[in-house]
Amino acid sequence: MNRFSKTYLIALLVIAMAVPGLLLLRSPQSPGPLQPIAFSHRVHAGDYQMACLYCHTTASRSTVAGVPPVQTCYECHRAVSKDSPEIVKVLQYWEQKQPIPWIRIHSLPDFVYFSHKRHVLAEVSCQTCHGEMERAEQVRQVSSLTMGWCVDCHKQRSAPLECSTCHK
Amino acid sequence: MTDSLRRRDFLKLVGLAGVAGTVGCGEQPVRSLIPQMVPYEDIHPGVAAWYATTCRECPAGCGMTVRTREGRATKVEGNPQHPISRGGLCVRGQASLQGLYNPDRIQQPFRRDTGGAIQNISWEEAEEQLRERIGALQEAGEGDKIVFLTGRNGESFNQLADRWLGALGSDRHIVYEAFSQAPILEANEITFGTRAVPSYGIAEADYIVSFGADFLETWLSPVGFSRDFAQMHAYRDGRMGKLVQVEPRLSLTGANADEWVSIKPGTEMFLALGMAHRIVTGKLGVTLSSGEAQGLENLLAPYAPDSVAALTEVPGETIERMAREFAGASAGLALGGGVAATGENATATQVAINLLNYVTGRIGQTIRFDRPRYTEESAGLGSLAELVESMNQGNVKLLLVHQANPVYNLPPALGFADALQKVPFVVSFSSFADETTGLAHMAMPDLTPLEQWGDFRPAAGVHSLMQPTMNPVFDGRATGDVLLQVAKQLGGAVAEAFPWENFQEYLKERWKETYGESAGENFEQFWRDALQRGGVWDSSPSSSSAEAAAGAGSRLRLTSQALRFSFLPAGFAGQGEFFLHLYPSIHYYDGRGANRPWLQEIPDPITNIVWDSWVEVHPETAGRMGIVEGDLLRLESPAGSVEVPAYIYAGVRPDTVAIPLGQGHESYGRYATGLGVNPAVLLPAASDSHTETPAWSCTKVQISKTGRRSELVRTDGSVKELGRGISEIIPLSALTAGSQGEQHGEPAEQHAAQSMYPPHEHTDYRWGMAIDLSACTGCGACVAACYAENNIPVVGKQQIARGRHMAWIRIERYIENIAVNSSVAPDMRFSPMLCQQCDNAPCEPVCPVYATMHSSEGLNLQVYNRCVGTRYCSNNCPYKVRVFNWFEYEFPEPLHLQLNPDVVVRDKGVMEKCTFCVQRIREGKDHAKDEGRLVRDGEVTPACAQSCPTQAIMFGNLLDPESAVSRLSRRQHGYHALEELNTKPAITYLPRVKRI
Repeated sequence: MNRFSKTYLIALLVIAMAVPGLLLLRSPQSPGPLQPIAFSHRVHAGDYQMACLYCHTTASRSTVAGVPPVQTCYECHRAVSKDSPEIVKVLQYWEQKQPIPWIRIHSLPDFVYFSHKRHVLAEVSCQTCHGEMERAEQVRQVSSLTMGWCVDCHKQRSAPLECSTCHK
Repeated sequence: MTDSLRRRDFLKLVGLAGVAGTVGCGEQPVRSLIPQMVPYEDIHPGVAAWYATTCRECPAGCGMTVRTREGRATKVEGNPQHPISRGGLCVRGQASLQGLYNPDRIQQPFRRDTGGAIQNISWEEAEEQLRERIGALQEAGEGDKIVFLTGRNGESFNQLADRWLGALGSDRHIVYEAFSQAPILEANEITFGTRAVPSYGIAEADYIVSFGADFLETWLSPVGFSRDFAQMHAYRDGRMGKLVQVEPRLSLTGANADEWVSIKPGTEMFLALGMAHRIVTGKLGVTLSSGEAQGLENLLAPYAPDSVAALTEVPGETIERMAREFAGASAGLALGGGVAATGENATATQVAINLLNYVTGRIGQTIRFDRPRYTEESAGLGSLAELVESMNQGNVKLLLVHQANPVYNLPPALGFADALQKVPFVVSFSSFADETTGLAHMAMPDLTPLEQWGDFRPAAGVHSLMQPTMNPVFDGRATGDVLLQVAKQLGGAVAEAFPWENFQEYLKERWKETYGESAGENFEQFWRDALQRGGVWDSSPSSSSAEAAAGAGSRLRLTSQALRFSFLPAGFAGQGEFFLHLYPSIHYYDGRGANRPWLQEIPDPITNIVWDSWVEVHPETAGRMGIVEGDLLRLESPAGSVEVPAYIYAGVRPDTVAIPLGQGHESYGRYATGLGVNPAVLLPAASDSHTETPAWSCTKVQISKTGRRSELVRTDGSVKELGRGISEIIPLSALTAGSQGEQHGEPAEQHAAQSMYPPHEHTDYRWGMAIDLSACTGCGACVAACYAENNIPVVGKQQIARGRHMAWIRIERYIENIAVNSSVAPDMRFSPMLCQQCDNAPCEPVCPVYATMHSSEGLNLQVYNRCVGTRYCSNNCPYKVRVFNWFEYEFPEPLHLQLNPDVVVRDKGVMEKCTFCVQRIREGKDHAKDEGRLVRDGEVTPACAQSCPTQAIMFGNLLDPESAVSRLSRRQHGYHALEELNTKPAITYLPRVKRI
């Protein structure tokens, strides 16, 4: 084996080793990014048993679930635990009329059509895709959201499998 | 490889770079999820909100609904409730979005310093500067030297402008439209003593003679008239209406006519008089009072068909026949308009047409003055000529220009641009950096119509509203608001005269004054309803026959002036060999559409040329002079010269050459500037002798070959249909006799059972379409609608020349037969060609990756993320309706804001195609599923069908035998394009019924 192919092989090996590690980094095992406000779904959806649709109001009538307007936070937190450091931040956003720049966790490619509405109305629980949010301190992606994963579920539930269901 | 970097090092580097690259990919870009602060009442993320408004791309004033998503307008459609357009929208209306998002809009006010350099300024500074100017003029007692030049606006704006000027001591508000209806108003005043543009009963007519009126393209109200024409021209119960188009150049309207009378330019008037003469002397028309009959006989005496034949070069027997047919029609209608009737004798031509209508009793029948279209008047060239003179004399100290571009679309011979230089201060309110703005001292960019409040009265009894459909894209300000703001700053009596906070408040107040009573106690509710509906209207202005009978009571009598009228022939300047025929383009109108890339990219309906100007030359002339298509010709008139490539067209007289207007901008943004020529430079400063509106048909030109070439890019392949069964006709006689239509290809039955594949099963739906070629006028509205709905990129002239046009639907145009002055109908065929959604689709089996799939609902799906770009499907498609993304196409900011979020923007290397607007089907099914039912007929309409002014395209479920599309598809003469290929298309074409 000459030097040339050896170097080539090393380079390939390095890449081959790096890939699984990187996949691990992106996997559902990661804790998820730090958000501008340490919002806890556990407290809201778990401890206080608030319905998902209370904040994500459009989940049952639009393709997108909708991230709650800052007003939704403010309406409760103008009174509720307004001195806690994280809530102070929320109130600051409200007072400065600045939207909270949440970091997006779930993002489907442009060529995928997904409707929250149809899934909610078909009584697919939010947890099916988003995991046990009522226990989550920090939001992370728990499902792969790949086509195979979608199709598996569609098969199990005899949901439509036509290409145009998701691609158009 | 250089010595300093050996191969081994290079490979090491490559290896490392690979690792680094992979690591880089691992870091997902941080994407934000920005919430609303306070939820809007009517904006929900992911759900479209619709607003009704009025289209202002031309003075027709069609109703429009605007679809917005997440606060930005993504699509405009015709408002089905609106009495003018009744659901359709033309190609220019569709492209209004590209005015809104035009990347070359003026983004903020600017001042031009003495060196001509542009300095951006704030709105406060701009308003202060305007106020200072006005203040200084007022102090000097020169308030009357302020002139406001505007396009045709809504009543509220006009009134505000008048009031504002009045408060400053001026009454010089000049309304300017390049294509003025002043000759019609003037002629009606002369003939009947009423100064109005009547409503025309096109739908009720059974015989129309149109003297140059291109009513399917630009004249008065093309969308509404197209619908009327389709109704009038439809075959039912053994009959169909007849349209005879009289014009020197066969327009799109003429191409849809049953007969083309190719007339010598400027002599339309004589033909009308000749017909009237024949009708009066032959007593073919209505009974006239003896005085009138005598007066008319005297007036018409010189216009016996023989002498008219010599003047017009229309054969005497044609005149005779037309007179008989017109007089014998139960509801005849003679129209006059368009460029063919805007010579120096424009008013005289309209008077002659009035007489023709009068002697056959059409006034009060198909022509209704009791429901006038409008009565106001746009300024004729007279007042503009006066303005030029006034500017030259220094009697204009401040000129405000709003929604008008006279530097571009007035003939330069008039000297407007030079005179403008003598005005100490010119303010342009244009949203775009057009030619007039280029000479202005200050620009105060207006908002586009989709961003602002307003109203418009397109016809009597129709009060259309405009409302902002989104926040302004740039830092523009509505001119109405600027006027109010400046008035406030002027203080004193002026400020007191304008108590309104903004234009919206003013508009509402005005409406309250007008409708306060009829609205009852709850004006707020009335206002909201009006906004939701798009305005207020009594009922449809197109009258029913019962109403027509009632309207007969309002029949007008001829004035004595009419009976003394002298019909002077039109003059043509210069000794050139050819008449110059300039016509408004269906895409660019008076030039304002030229900066919309869709309008440049969508081929002209007649020539199929894109992104260019051309001069139409008759084949005989071309043969004689050795001209071939693309030869750069030099056209010279006494006023100027242009160089423009030739297009050989049998639809123009041998003694005439024709050029479309609207191109040749010197400054109008990246899409328009430097493209084509502006033929207005050829025009001398001539005008209609009665109204002094600009004459477009007033000169002769000399043609010479430059020896150079300028290739025209056309999208048509073969000019002729060659019996391929794509665009078929059926003779009217065949229908009335009950025989079969034109034979095409091999009979389909031979192949019916020979498919290699089992037929597809459809459960609930099989989507299908029926296209009625009798109704299709070839206007191209569907194409623009498709561009807007489906995020289709604009690729430009060079790429189109290589066959990379991206349109999913195109209008196939075939010129089978056009003969000058023959009674044979021009056989020009138009048929929309889009994916036929074959049930036996040739594209499907050849895709190696199953990217093109057959859906259970009969659609040929294209799964873009699966496509690897082999292009086998396109090779195998006999209809050539699949297009390939050769590049990553750009949507320059902010045009990208128009993209429909429901449709993927396709990448480089991907094949794309029509999907019958699958996103709309999905939406319709979504609604239906909510209610636990199937989609109802008519619930889903693809963009093309929605926009069609004539409703030529019908879409629906073929499995429902009662659906409109099923009923049409079952019609006896329906056919499939290239049926012998056994592709089993979902589209049924109904052949064009032709009076052969």
